[in-house]
Amino acid sequence: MSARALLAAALLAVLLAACSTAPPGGGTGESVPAPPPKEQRRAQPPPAGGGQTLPPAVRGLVAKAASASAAGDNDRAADVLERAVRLAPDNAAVWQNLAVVRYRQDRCDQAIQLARRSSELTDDRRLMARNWRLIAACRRMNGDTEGASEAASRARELGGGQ
Amino acid sequence: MAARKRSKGGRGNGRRGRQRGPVARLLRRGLLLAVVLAVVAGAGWTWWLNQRVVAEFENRQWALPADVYARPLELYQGRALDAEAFARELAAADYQRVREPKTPGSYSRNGATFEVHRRAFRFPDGRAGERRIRVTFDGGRVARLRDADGNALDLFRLDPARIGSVYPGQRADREPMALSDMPRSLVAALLAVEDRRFTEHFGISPLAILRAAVANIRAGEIVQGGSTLTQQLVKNLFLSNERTLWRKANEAVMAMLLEWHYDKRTILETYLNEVYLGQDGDRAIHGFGLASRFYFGKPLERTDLAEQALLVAMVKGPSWYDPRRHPERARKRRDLVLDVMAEGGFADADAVARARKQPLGVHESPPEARTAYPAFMDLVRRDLSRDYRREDLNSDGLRIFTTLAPSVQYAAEQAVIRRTRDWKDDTQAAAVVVGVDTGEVEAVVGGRDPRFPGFNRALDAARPIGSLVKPAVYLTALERPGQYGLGSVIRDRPVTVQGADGQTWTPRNYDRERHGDVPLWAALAHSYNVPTVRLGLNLGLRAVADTLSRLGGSLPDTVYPSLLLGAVSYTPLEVAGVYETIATGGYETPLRAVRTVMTRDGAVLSRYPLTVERTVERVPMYLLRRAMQRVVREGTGRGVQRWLGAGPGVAGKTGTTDDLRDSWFAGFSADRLGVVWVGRDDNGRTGLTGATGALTVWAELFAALPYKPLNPRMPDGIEQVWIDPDTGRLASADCPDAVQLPYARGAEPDERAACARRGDAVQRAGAWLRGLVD
Repeated sequence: MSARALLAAALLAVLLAACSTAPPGGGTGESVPAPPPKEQRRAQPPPAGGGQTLPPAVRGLVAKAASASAAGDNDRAADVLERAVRLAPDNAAVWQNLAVVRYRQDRCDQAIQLARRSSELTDDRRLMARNWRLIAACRRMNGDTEGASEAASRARELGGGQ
Repeated sequence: MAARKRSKGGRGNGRRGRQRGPVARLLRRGLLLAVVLAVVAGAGWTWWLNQRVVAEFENRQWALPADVYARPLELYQGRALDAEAFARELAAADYQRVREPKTPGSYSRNGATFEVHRRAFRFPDGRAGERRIRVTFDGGRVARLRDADGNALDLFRLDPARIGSVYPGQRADREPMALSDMPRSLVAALLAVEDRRFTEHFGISPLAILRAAVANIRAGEIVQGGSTLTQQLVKNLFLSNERTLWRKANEAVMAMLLEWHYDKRTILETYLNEVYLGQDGDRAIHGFGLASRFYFGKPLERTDLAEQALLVAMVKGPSWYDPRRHPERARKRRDLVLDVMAEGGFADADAVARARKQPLGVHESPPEARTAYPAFMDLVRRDLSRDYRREDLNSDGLRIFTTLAPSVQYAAEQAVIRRTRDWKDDTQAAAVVVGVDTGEVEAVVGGRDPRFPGFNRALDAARPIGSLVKPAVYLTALERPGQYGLGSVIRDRPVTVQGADGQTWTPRNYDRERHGDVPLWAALAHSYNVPTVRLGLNLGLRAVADTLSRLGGSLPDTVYPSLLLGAVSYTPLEVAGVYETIATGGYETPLRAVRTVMTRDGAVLSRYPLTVERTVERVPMYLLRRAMQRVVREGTGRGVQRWLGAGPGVAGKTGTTDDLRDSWFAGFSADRLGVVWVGRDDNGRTGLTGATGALTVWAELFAALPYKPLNPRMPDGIEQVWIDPDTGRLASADCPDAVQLPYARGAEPDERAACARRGDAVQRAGAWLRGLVD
């Protein structure tokens, strides 16, 4: 119990660092922790979050979602992120987080839609690049290799780094 | 001979036998048959009673209704909400206003500052404990949000209003509780007063019956009942007040059968949840849990000794001892119950003495009926019935978390009530309000009397949508940027088409006038019929139908040109589904009334997640939305400015059908979509257009709601150009009457209007810049 609380606190700290200020550094700015092993065998999803200052009201929710997702409870993570979407529907980072969780829930069609929607809400190229990488991963999973490499090159053009 | 003799004798004997022997035999046989029949009938009757009572009991026993909750209110600094709306949300969630909010479920208010003591609540995404907070409103927003110690809070969620129970098959609803959750003193008082030998008897108490019979014979009428709790329960299960001997006998048999089948605890628990304790209009109040809410406005766990005694007092005759109508009588009986409790040692004498001094403590008016939101509950039931069998909804005591926003619902009801007041009695109305980004249904009004659970027009009145279909026509055009832009000129000259039955049809403009050549945006803004039909026929009916279907509209099997003017029937909810796609900027987002269903022990049973799918590309949708903003700025929808002011930050469309039978308005801000229908149930004329009818309800509603002005992000691939409205050609800022319109990049007209040919490139660039700033 206390170990779990510690973990949550640690994740929260990482997440706040990632989200509340500048976008995570060009490299491996993971703000939603790595997916459970099942997904790891497939393409690595791009990190979510960051890119846009999160309003204080949803900061805690995004952190909560991150730890739920890290604990493998993506249903709960999605619940919490939907709540965040209701509170901050114009925030591209929130939509992106939801897209990542949908990906982890094996709901690639929705992940793609949500990633597109996230990109429409921002001018942040890095965040857009992350969305394209997520789309690329989804297309790969759907067997659309051509679409995947197109999305990957869109991501590269935006220069988000990988 | 002998034979004759015998025969004679036989006959003689026979005659005698018929006179004596056979009659007796027949009688005997008949009697035997009667006895057998009686035994068989008795057994059969008993069997039948057994079936009935067991079925009915099981039905109640396992029929924990599903609790239905509104969406929980989220508070955070900057949230658009005013103090009045907040007070309304608190009232809907059954919060009591007090001086000092010491107990959960209470609040105090000082002007625009509230101190709220939240109840503990288990949300689908986690448990929230009870907590005290202080919130201040200013300028229609949450200005400050602090905890009890004065520390700033980022986010606070109120426990949601309970808006109803799903309990199909019964009019009455319940608030069932487990025996272990019932206050012990209440149960003790009940047994002391109603059935002291409950734990010993076998369903009936012959001694009690005998005592009652003696009393009744002495009085010459029925003055006393010897009923055990089990017998009373049977009576309650079948809801009959008939007091015949036959009825009593049946009840007695069924009571014994119940005792045969079930243990005392089960019977007692069912009794406590089932006993009739009052009437609220056509709603019967059953069970102590619901009665506590009904009389005291609080859950049974929070009642004190005096209140419990009053509830027990009412068992004897809820209308005779109705504490609202007959407070004196009720008080006398309550005190009697208290005395019995003291005598029997169920409560200590001091507590009883104190309780006797207390007033009845009954709320003056009953809280609003459990289903204060019949139209919305109807939608919830239908949504759930897609995934759950009726029995499951009955049986599992589910917790259903919905999307209803009580303060939005209130605003919608008030708008409908206030506006319909001015119209004839048979003019009806319906309204649906949806959160744009999520597709969550925030409010449903099913008629001009929103609390009346009758015909739900929002869900069931499918009516021709008239001009509400036009955005689908214009969107189809705007999806072909090479051919059409907002400034493209359409001819407003009569057109004749083949109708459904081979007859010709010549649509006319609503104002019966011809407007010459009109730009596309103006034809939509002013809802001209003739240019719309021309445009639609050029585009092709199939293309328009396809667009309508991508927006989420259903299509008839065969489409005729009359579709272009809205000869397709939708309910207000279906219209909301179509306009939701427009409001989101091209994402089809299925409307939802339910977020989550949980079991009583806290597991999430099903989720109804947000799903979005882009079905219309951004650029054409942006252009359409800009044209729809013109509808309310200068077109048929400009009336909303009387409520919302100039530059109202909304977009919408009016709709009127033939002979003024249906009046529609569908409109949206950045965050809310509202659809209103006004018309008559018999499809008669109302004398109202979209603009004089439904629009006024919609505008009244949006004027009462906080909403975020519509200011869509301009997508890549759009540029602002000056257009000469007469020719649809490229103009410049200094051209007289030139209008600035967004165009898909690269799709602006090639030809220049006369005035623009003089202009140089620098000037054009300047105008373009000005347009951006505009």
